[in-house]
Amino acid sequence: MRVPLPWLREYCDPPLAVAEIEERLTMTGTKVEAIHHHGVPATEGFVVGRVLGAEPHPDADRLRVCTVELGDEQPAQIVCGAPNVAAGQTVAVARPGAVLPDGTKLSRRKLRGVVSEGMILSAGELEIGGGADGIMVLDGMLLDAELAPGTPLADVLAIAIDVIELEITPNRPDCLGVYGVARELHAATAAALVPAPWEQDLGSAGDLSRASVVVECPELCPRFTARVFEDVTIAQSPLWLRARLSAAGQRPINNVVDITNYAMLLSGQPLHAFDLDRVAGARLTVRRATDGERVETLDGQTRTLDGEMVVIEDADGPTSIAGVMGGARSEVTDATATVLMEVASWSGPNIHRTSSALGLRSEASGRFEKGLQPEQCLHAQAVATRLMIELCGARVLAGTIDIGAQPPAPAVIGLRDARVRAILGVDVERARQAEILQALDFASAAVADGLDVTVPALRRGAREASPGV
Amino acid sequence: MIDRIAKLRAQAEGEIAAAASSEQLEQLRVRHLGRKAELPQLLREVANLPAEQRGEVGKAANMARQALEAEIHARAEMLAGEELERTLHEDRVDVTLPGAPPQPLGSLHLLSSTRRELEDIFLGLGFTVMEGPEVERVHYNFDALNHSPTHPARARTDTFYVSPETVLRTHTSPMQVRAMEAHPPPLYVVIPGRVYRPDSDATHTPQFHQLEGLAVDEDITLADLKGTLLEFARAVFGDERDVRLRPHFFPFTEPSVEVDVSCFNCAGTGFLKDGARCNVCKGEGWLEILGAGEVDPNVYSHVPSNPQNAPGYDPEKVQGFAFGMGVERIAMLKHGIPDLRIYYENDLRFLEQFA
Repeated sequence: MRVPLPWLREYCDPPLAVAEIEERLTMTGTKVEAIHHHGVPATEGFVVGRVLGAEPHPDADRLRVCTVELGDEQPAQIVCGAPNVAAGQTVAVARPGAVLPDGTKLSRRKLRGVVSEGMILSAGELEIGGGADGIMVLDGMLLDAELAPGTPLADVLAIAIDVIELEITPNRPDCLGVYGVARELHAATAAALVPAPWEQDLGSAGDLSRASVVVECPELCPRFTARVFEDVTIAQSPLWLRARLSAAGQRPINNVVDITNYAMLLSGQPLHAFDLDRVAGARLTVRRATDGERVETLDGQTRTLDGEMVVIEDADGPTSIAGVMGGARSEVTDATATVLMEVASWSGPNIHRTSSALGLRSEASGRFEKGLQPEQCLHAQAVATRLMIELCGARVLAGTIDIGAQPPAPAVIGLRDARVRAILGVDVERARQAEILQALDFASAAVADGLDVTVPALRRGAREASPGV
Repeated sequence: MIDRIAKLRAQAEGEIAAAASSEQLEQLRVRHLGRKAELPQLLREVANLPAEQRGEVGKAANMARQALEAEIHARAEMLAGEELERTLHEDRVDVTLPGAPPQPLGSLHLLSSTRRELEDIFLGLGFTVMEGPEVERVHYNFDALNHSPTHPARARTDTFYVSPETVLRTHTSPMQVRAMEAHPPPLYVVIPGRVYRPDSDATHTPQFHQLEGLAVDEDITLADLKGTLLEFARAVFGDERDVRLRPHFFPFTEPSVEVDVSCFNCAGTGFLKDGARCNVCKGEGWLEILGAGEVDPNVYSHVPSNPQNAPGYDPEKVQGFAFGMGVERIAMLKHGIPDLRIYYENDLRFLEQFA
């Protein structure tokens, strides 16, 4: 899993350099496989600029000669080939001497006879997703309304990011999200952990009449939740979100899809956004496929299913292979105005079987097959709800469709002092044991021969892993 | 008559003196002294002579015969001596001459010699060596090792199935349970052997080799595991090495660890003397060498008590560690071999480097 370090530090920020963080995580069982550098090699030379004027180039139809204020006494002259450059824009500029992510070092040079003192940048040139549509216009994309020309670009936009790539062992699906890794870092360094980003939920529980869901195979779908958002405006995501997704290895698409990916990377729990107006009958049914049933998935391929696989269908037939890949018929488009946000739990072994049998692996199937917990559904819903409201101007309808059995009561494991010493060969003070467990979200109560440890929902798998300790 | 004898004697003496070989001499003996030769004939006819001639002729003939016999004998000895001398001379070996062109000599394959080296190290630590079946029951390969019924490793994409209940073992670990079924605690064994998985690329081959270790007694701790593996790492990679245990996960050990040895190429610093990043550990300073842990109590629960292993393996009474390492990986690290497949291509240019 790729975790952009600034994102991790948002939740747990130990006063340690990246190499020390790597060491701590590796030695507590979350091995750092690699540290990647995303974006520009060094931030020098990248500044905010304001376009004062953009005149046609005397000798080239497609080039414009721009006057750009960079905070110096004299504005700079920069030749730009982007069709969207215009006077008044706030833009990102690389000055001579700056090095782009592809290794190109800029210099002052002539373009068709006109001197250019740098380059106005597109999002793609900074390894921030998107950017096929010309230069990056910062107005309205960043929180600060007015950015002074000359401000270092790195102060306002993550253009140089350390990304740590982690090996998550099969017993730790709770670490498949950035916040789970933050909790691990908290336990490993004792640095404070910010409350979970899903603690505040702008949505609400209760009935929801705008859509309905039927789950016919609860043994393969322990929980299915859905919320509905109206007045959704589909647009490009803000730069911070695109930069963050790009660094984590995801391609930004549009604000709704990006929100589902962001909420997944943060909580570990995959989400799927339906265009509710394109869900026939506004009703979803979760059922086993029939042998030989065919479904067309988002990638345009037709897949042949069997009776052990699960589909989600509407009144017109199957739209998705549950937990693996959505269907094209009800996906979010530029015209989408109403979104049904699905967040469900699926049987890990069943998803593993389906994705191997179909030869179809996705970010979602790779997570579900490791065994996510039903409680995580509402974590992801809460994160997505806030962002849908903030970034898409959407209105969340009251209520949440929530189908599924009550999860089992938390298990309590007896941790005996004598056994700890006997297995490890060293003494760990009981108070220290409780402290470590607490940092990992395990509550503990002292008893005569040790601790009674309560397993949190996200670590439910730990019960099988440590019998009779 | 006397003259005739003297003539025969003179003729024979001349020929004997001229004889050049033992064979020629033997022919002369037959010709002059054999049954049909003239001189013995004369001797036999002495009885027919007039009495006054008998003494003189008989004496002369006898003397001639004795003289010839003596000469033949003398000549024979001389010739035998000469011939021996000649034989000795001709058959002499000149040890200073160059030998015949060298013939190719077989040697142990690197994997065999590495396996033996590993076995020797653990024998020295008090372990015994066991072997087990490569075609294994699902029970020993997965069930008894605490793999859940839906564990991904059981998939047909990850395991060769011979039948629904039989596999080509995917690791040497099934021998943990077999060893405990066959022997009572305390138990200290290593199990080398071939294992099989459906993978093939630069770091995976469908068949490869592992060495399993199992130590079970009343009080074997994670600290004992570390000490044992430190000894092992130093024996293989040098006395200066250190080991570290990183928490990990395996279904059949709890707690589980991955074990790293400090890099022998850069002394664990991650950098070479000239400041370049170490190309063996990729700058990490540590090399992952094996997986290990304390045997999960659930594994003991899968060991039935029987007359051979009495008193059996009660999870509340015994504890110990297990480890498993790839023989190919150890040899790759130690000798800087870049591609696993080289082991099996039998290219002499590779094999001879380790002969």
